[in-house]
Amino acid sequence: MTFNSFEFLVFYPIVAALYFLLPKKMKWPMLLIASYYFYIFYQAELIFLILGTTLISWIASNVIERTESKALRKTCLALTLIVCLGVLFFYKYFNFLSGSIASLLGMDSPVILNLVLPVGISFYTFQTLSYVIDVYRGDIKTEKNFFFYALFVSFFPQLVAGPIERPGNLIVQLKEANRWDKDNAIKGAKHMIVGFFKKICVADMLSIYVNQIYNNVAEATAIGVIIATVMFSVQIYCDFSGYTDIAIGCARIMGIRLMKNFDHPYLSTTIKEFWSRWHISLSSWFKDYLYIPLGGNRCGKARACFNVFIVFLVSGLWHGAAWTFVLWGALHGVYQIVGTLTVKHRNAALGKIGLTENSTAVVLVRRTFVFALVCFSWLFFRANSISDAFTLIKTLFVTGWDVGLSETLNIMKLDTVGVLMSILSVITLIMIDNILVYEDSRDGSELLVKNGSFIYYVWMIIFAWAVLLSQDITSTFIYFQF
Amino acid sequence: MILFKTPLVLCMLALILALHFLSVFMRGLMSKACAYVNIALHILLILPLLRYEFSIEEATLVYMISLFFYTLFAYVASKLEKNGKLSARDGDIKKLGESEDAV
Repeated sequence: MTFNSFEFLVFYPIVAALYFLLPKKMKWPMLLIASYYFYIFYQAELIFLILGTTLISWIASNVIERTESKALRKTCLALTLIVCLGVLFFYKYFNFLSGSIASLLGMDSPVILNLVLPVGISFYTFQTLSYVIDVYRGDIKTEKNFFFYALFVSFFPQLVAGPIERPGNLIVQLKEANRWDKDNAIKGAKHMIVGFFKKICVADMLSIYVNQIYNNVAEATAIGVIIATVMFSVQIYCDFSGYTDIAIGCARIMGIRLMKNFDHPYLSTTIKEFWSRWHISLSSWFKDYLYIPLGGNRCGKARACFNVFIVFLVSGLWHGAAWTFVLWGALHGVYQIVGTLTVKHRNAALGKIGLTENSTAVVLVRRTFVFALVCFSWLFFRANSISDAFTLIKTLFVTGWDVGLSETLNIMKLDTVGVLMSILSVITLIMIDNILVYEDSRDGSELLVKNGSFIYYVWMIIFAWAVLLSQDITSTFIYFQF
Repeated sequence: MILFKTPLVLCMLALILALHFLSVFMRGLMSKACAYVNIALHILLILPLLRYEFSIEEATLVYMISLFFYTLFAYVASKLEKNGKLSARDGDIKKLGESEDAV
């Protein structure tokens, strides 16, 4: 079941109603059953994986807490890491590795298994790992009730695409039996509507034009690559932050606050800042459980750069089992290392011309430059293969400039309606994001839902949905595949 | 685009935008009345869209224009509200300072 399916529109109101109607003791068991039903509805055959991961991590964390033996504690942690990451590796990376080795050795027929990628495996694996590591470090106490722990791992709003919640934040909230609260309901519903708007009216609509270029690289033009890549940068933001908004909204209606996952990432002035605003739950996970244990920046400049590169390489691989994702991660690693190494020189150069890094013009230039760098990296992320990515780069820098704008728009099937729709939806999105941040920061201001005005957004979502249906476009969330 | 060749749809759209403005910036019953009339107008707009055979894409654009302007007015209102609250707070702080001086 996905958020943008008819089944979810029936499922969620029933779950929310039951949550408020049932007595205190029955609330969390109902949420657990609902969460597993949510997963089974999507992928029943792989339910044993999430169950197994949950059981192993729960047993290991209990042993770690109870035993005095350091060796046993280490063994339990190592075993959990091996099992959880082993399952993730097998389902997600086996075919990729097998294919890569075969092509490296020049073999004709690599061993390819007929594996279905379990939905949300990267997300719930990381969530369970953070739990076991936190228990090992002594940061949290274990949850004695297995079923309650199972709810923490499988809580349906954030099960398949995050945010990757920390036990310290979510478990405490799940234990509370929240009552109906009008303010929570309004704020939650608002987040859900905005999420659906981002996904259906912006991301899915833009995907129509992005696909024309990225699925037909032979016909691409330089202008087409630029337009499609900028559109993809908006598409992926709306797709993923839209999912997060729906997840946050679903949980908020029931009084549970999930962590913020996006904070205007395209306004960043450095790549480092971009990663503190984009997919915040994953970035902070990598920082806490990979970057710092590797030594962080405590072991000298060279080692810090190496650590950053490793983290981004792993982050790339986390996103998908393909060389395009590895290159995407590596590119961000290089961006960040170059950014860190040159920061002093850049600031000194600005000082010489009488500017500071906070001057309006400098901020504007830096934002544009960072956005351009991020867009360039999205080219690898979206390309269907490495060869497609390099064909598009060649088109962009060498061969694609002999075709004009009007012909490019024809190739992309972007007519006047499409152009106007794209521009208006993106500007609307920027304003909605701003209003939402403002309204979340203070009580009583409800402009997005004032006098039933949410109906305009719902109305728009229905029409956009109809457009997608008329063009036979099946809509799934991009981050589901990770 | 058929939109620019159909005065009825253009007139309805203009009316919708005017009502958006009023519902956002007016207060009380008048604001509510404008909003509810506007919701009805959105539904009624389907009739001319069907009558003049708008494509689904262009019909969506018409509603997108409406939504864009509603969000624009709400955005401006939020900015005004924010500035108003900030200046009110500054005023309170100033008054507090003056009264403390008097003491």
